[in-house]
Order: sequence, then C-alpha cells, then structure tokens
Amino acid sequence: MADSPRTSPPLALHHVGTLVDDIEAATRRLVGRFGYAIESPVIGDPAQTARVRFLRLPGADHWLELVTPNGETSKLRNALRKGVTLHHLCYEVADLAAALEHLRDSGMLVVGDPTPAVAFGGRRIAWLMDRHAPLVELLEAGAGPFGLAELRSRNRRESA
Amino acid sequence: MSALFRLQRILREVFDDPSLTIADDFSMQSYPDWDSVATVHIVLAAEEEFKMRFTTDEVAGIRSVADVRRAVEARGA
Repeated sequence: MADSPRTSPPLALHHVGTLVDDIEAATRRLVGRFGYAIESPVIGDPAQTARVRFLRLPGADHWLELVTPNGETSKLRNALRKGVTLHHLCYEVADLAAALEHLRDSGMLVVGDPTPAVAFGGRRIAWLMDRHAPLVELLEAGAGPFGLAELRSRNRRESA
Repeated sequence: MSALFRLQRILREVFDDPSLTIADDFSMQSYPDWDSVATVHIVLAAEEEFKMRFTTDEVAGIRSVADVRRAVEARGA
C-alpha cells in the first residue's frame, strides 16, 4: 500500500495553512514584517470550525492562509494548544477523485468525504493525513474565488 | 495471535506506553491522549498490520478499540 510507484496526478501548491490564535494580529505582523498583501476578508467556515484569511506576497503563485478556531469548541483548539503552527499544505488538483485515490494508495488516510468549501465558492476540498505532519488539503480546480489559473493570469498581467 | 493482542501492540506504540493494557472499552473518552491524530496513527498501523483498508465511514466512526477490532475482524483477521 505504501509508497506506490504510480505517477501522481499533477498537484499545484495552492496555499500554506498556518494556525494562529489571533488572525488580526498575525495579519498585521505578516503585512508589516514581510510585505504580504491582504487578499480576502476574514471568512467564516463552520464546516471547518474555523475563520480564515488569505494573504499573498506580491507576485507569488500561491497564498498563505491564516486559520484560527471559530470558538472554544473548534476542533482546531487542540492543535493550537499543542503549539501547531504549520497546519496544512493545500494542493489544487484537476481531478479530485484521482488524486485522492493516488494518495490513499500511497499510504495516506482520507479524513471524511470531499465537501464544498465556503472560501472557494463551493469547490470541494478533501483532507488527508499520514504519520507525518502537516495535514494535506486537496482543492478541486475550477471557476470561483482563489483559483490558481486566475492567479497566474493576474500575475502575468501585473508583470507585463 | 488475537486481533486484540495485535491492536494492543499498536496502541502501545502509538501512545508510547509499553505497559498499556487495552480492552474493547478502551476509548477516546476513557483515554484523553487519544485524539483524531492518534486515530489516524492507529488506523494506518492497523492497515499495515492486518493488510487491509478501512473505509472512510469506518474511520469516521472510530471511538474505541471495539470499533477498530470490529472493522479488522470483518475482514477475517
């Protein structure tokens, strides 16, 4: 089951998810210290028991996602208490089912069925884990906010 | 070797406790260190040990040793 020699479907890094206890303070720090631009308002996602915000370095081909628990009972509280900061890596994939099958065959565990994500206009996401941190999130490609194809076009326009 | 004995070996490794003794009622509720990350470790180790694969629904329903043992034994282990 582990380390399947099969070729992986193409994965493109979409964002790095970092866990923070104060989304506004983290935003101020990253904008002021590293020059990140704020790319979204704070978005509530009850399914993930989280509030998130996307930042991006000018010209970068992926985002940084700040993730914070949406309350005391959030499933993220435990990770925050344990000092987790790098929470997940998200990859955009053209074929979500094929990517899930490939990663499952390679020894990862799919945690729950794919679900529509508020932050991505209803495009589906799926979570996977293995014995090595961090979590992996897969996001299906397509129309809607925060698509990599649109970001690439934007970067081309801005650099022209 | 019984499935329960093999699961005990897995849980001892996951929880880093060589003297851990388990029974069917050993659960997330009775053992505070057993969180969702530990479940992933248990499932992946059990898949390797028993040469089987859990369904997503089975993984989502795991709360105790009995849940893991049921899934394993359903495959004839």
